[in-house]
Amino acid sequence: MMEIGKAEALLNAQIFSKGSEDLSEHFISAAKQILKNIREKNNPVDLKVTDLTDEVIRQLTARMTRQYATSNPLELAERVGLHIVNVDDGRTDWTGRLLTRDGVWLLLINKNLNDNEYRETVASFVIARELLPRLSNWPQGVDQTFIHEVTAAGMVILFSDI
Amino acid sequence: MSLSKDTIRRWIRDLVDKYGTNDPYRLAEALAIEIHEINNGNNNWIARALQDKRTGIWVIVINHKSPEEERAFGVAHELMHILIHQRNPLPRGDDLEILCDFGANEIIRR
Repeated sequence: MMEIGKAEALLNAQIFSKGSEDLSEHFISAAKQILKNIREKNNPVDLKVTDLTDEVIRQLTARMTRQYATSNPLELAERVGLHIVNVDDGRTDWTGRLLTRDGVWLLLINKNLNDNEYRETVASFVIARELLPRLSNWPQGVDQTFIHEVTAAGMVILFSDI
Repeated sequence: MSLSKDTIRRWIRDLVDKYGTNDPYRLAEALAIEIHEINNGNNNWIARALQDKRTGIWVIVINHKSPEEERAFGVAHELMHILIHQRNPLPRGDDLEILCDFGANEIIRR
């Protein structure tokens, strides 16, 4: 399947190339429909927990890194509007907690984590931040273990450049 | 029993005496409440209190875009939400907002 970025580039190149006047409206319309289909496939908006395959998570993560032009978890957090609050409550039995209200998204992150755990936790919750609004049935009582498990497939993409 | 303004006034007096400050930011710090300033591009709110129920951690977020002179009151107002939240039964709706405004004024003017 053609990737969305390539499809967009190709479509733009076709439309804006010197020979664009030769392109029929029909072709452009068909190309746009194909692009729309690819977009929807890459950017599903009504996911169920049972839809969360590794492939879906990978696509979501890859799309995010393209959109924000970085795979650095801390930069991604900033760009997706996930505000990190470092908390030192002296406990080591939690990594991160996601809070949201009125469009504000906060990641409480345990300051007692080591560097790798910290970075992985940010990455995991960045993916979760992208995922949550697309889910129609986020289960009750979801916890950090679930988030870490669900988002694991996307970590490969975020850490592939380290 | 409903929460009276006298009770709130007493809370504030005890709180300010205990921690030696009426600065809402310092009171929040003394109560282990995280304060976090953010800019989400929206200027129609000043501050919000959020709690993570599992860890019990409270966070007050302040809108970086809100007028500076309103932020201290906003923090004090959210502090009141957190203090009142411990109570059962919890006042609701307008009553709650009126009590939080009252308490915030008590903090600021002390």
